[in-house]
Amino acid sequence: MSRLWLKLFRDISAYRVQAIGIAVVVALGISMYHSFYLSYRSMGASYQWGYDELRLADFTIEMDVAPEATVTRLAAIPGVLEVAGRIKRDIRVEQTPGRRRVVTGRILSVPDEGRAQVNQLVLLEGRYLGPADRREVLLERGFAEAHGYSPGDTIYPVVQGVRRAYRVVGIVSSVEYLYVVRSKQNLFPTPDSFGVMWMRRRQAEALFQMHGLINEIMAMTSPGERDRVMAAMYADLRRFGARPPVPQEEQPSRQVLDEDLKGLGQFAVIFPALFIGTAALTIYSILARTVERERQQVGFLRASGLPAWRLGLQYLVFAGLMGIIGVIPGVIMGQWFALGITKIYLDTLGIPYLRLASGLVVGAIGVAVTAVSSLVAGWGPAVSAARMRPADAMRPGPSASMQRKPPAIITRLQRRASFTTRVALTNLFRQTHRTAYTLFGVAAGLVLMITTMSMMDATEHAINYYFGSVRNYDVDVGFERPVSETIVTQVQQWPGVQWAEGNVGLPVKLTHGEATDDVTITGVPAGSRLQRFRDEAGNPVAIRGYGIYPAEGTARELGIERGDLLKVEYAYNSRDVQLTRPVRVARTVRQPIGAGLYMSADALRQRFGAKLGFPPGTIGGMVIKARPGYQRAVAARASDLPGATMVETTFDIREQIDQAMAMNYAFIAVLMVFAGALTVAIVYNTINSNIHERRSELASLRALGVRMDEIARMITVENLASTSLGVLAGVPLGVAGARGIAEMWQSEMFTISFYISPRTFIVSIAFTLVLVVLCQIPALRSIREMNLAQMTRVHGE
Amino acid sequence: MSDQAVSARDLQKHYQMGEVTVRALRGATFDVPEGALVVLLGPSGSGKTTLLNLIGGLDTPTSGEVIVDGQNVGRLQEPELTEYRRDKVGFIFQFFNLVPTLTALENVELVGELAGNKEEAADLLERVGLGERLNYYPAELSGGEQQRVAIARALIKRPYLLLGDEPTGNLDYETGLLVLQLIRDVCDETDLTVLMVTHNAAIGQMADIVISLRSGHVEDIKRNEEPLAPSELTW
Repeated sequence: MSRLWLKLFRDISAYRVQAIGIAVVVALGISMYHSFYLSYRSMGASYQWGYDELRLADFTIEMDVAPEATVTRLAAIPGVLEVAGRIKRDIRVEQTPGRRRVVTGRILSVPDEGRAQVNQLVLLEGRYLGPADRREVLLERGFAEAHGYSPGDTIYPVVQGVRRAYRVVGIVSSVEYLYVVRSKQNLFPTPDSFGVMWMRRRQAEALFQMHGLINEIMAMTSPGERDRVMAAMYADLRRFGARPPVPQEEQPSRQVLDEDLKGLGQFAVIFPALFIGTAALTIYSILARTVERERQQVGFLRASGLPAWRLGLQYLVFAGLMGIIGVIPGVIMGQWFALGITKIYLDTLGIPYLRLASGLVVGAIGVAVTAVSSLVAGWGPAVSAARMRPADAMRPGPSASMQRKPPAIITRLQRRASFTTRVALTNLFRQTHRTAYTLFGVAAGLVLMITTMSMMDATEHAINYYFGSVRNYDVDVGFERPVSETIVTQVQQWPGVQWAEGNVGLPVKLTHGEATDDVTITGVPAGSRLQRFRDEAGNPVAIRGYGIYPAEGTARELGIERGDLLKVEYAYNSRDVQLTRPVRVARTVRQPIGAGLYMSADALRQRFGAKLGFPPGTIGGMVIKARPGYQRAVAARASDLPGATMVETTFDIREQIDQAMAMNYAFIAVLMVFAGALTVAIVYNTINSNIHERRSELASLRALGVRMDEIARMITVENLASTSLGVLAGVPLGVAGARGIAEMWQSEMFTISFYISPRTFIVSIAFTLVLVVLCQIPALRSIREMNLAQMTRVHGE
Repeated sequence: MSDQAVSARDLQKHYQMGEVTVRALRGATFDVPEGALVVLLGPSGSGKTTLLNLIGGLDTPTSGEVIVDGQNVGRLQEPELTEYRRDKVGFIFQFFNLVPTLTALENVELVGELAGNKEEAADLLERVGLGERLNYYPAELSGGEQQRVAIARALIKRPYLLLGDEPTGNLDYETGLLVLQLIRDVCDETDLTVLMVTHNAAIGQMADIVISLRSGHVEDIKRNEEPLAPSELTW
């Protein structure tokens, strides 16, 4: 082997502590990238596999009712591969004692024979539906789990006051309800109060008195034909009161999962980039220090005729190798984590099929990114080594920085200090490279910790705000049709009720320029005690006038702001009901969770109510605040209100949110572990290098009789002083990073505003200071144990 | 080819240190014949190391000429300077500048690779008396032994010039004499031209030519008709 390469490998071996430190940093960054990115791709592949193999409809169209024979006619449209019609109804469902008494059930019909060919079901437990004359249902997994159903249990749909018993024969997962939500207007899963169930068509016909009728079609089309076929079918079905078609990408479950995946994709790139960037900066700092330490060797090699490019290459390869050493364990760990993360994620969503994407491409990208970032990090030191003039490089003696003096204030402070403290403080200004590297290392660690911990802070803060202000009620009741407002006064008299308010809801399609969004406008009564709003600056906002008040997420989705004029269309515009109104945006209100659009209840009724059947004096729903301990009793009683189809309790919603957030918290916790480990690695590298590069100096001090405890104090004072400068730089940078993450961490479902708790500052700073002190211990031990005779003999180390 | 191994003509070197211009060399003119052992003598700051650096192609002159083996080194650009140093110059430094992570043999082989002459490394170490210590690391060698490795490392290139910058400056008297004897032997046996910088006037007595420098000027050039053997030197 060439002696130059041998020197390289021996150098890496000699600096193995630093090399291992860098390898750990790189391995952490790469494993994070690999696991997140591979999970992202695997989830995408799993979803897509499900959509393709289980034949998620290319589009669906809902209508009032249409003859079943319509399907045959629609199937003849050129470009149609398959079309199926079904009955779809949301109804009141009663449950056996021990379970929540009333929930909303969505009944979907499947063919009387065989299995559904479009939107196929995956049987998880029990068996598929038997002959069409049996009263059997299949339950969606999430609902079954939430209420403890298993095959053999009974469930009771109620239609027009008549309760019928159906036997649960199987638990299924459906490709159109991977993420179970009621509608595009209501994107939050509530398996406690909403469940999907499938029955044979003949059973559904009998239940709803819809013999020979359907109210939804699902279609599969030839590639490239969808839009044309969709338009043709919509035109055909308009006579049956068809609503606008819902293409697959707008299908609620798919839409939410796509959004979620997009968010994961962003995190899968941004956080690892932050980590790998930090690893690259660590490589830079280690290599720059190595070049400085090896000045005389560099000078000698150049004096001996080694070309500049070859010398530069030597250090570039040094950087590349240090990076690559960490890649292999990083990829292996990442592959393992990816499988775990994907499984957990799919299990949480109840998706029974896993398609692990190829780790080869992801791994290759990781290796390439590490190689490039290591080489970029090594470029500066390598070029500086290559450009060193041999005569200058070999000239011993103090650099210009050694002549620098500390500022006057430090000099004054030093007067009363001991000799070792004075040396430590002077070094802070003379050994500027050391101060700078420590400052950088500490700042980088703090940025990572504050940024990741702030995600936890912001999430908790947002949830607390949501349940303290926007959703300051315990029970939310929805009625099948508008009822008289007087019911609110009755409910206020119930024992355990603290307050109740009526409201109205209107599902609409909002249009602003090219952007459209499906939301429900909630009419809030004047002076509401149970729904209080604030603007983004935290100022109270009263919902009044004729304007609408979008939540931040909704405003962002539509790109709207105060004063904009929007087109509001009733979501179920049909042949019989057509309603479109212009409405102006009054203010944007803060709402961390879910989409939201608010308007004065009176104004909503006046502008839309008369035509849609909820005139002044009526309400479509009600919210109730119960006294402590009465929440469940009030919710149970609310289920018995005439016409109540939906009763949701805040504690169930909170539980759902906590469950949904569990993934987020786990994700943040993983990030925090990575950030903490990375901080340990960076600080350890920095502090170890600080001491290692002073071995000769410290050996001389020891040879002169300076005690080990004095040396330890000198090093500690210097390290803590430069760490303090790092804290001063790292905290504002961390705050900026947290702000950037908060900006990015927005979707229609979640608007997590920037927030950092004091706890985060205290923990991250204390952790860093303790870490610095602890990281000194191994290096100080090596100073205590070093061979003074040998150290003072070899020059230039 | 000229008989002169090195010719300097009005050689000047100025450095800019902040706002101050340091005139390290203010017009040195001299000739060094091939095969001579020359000592560049002078106190600290006299410009002797600057002169050695210019001859060795480690630095470029501000003005004047430095001709080595008929080649005007001062006019060479960086790639040619690198080639010049690789092919024609062997260096010995006060602080040895060995690579601490390579053994004695590997240190010599490292430079041997650059000159395409790696095979002689063990023989050269044998010749400088380190045949038993080929696989020792620098930290395991004494100062004199490290300097002998440095000499072997300089010789493996079969250089035209051997340049030493205070090669005994970091050694005790006895060890210094051994190193000087080795340099004298190499010069005599190989007809190599040697230029050696020192502030120690006693060492001048072993040289064929002593060029004395003071404040950047050549103060004196003296030929020793009968140089002393290194073992006869005292300081």
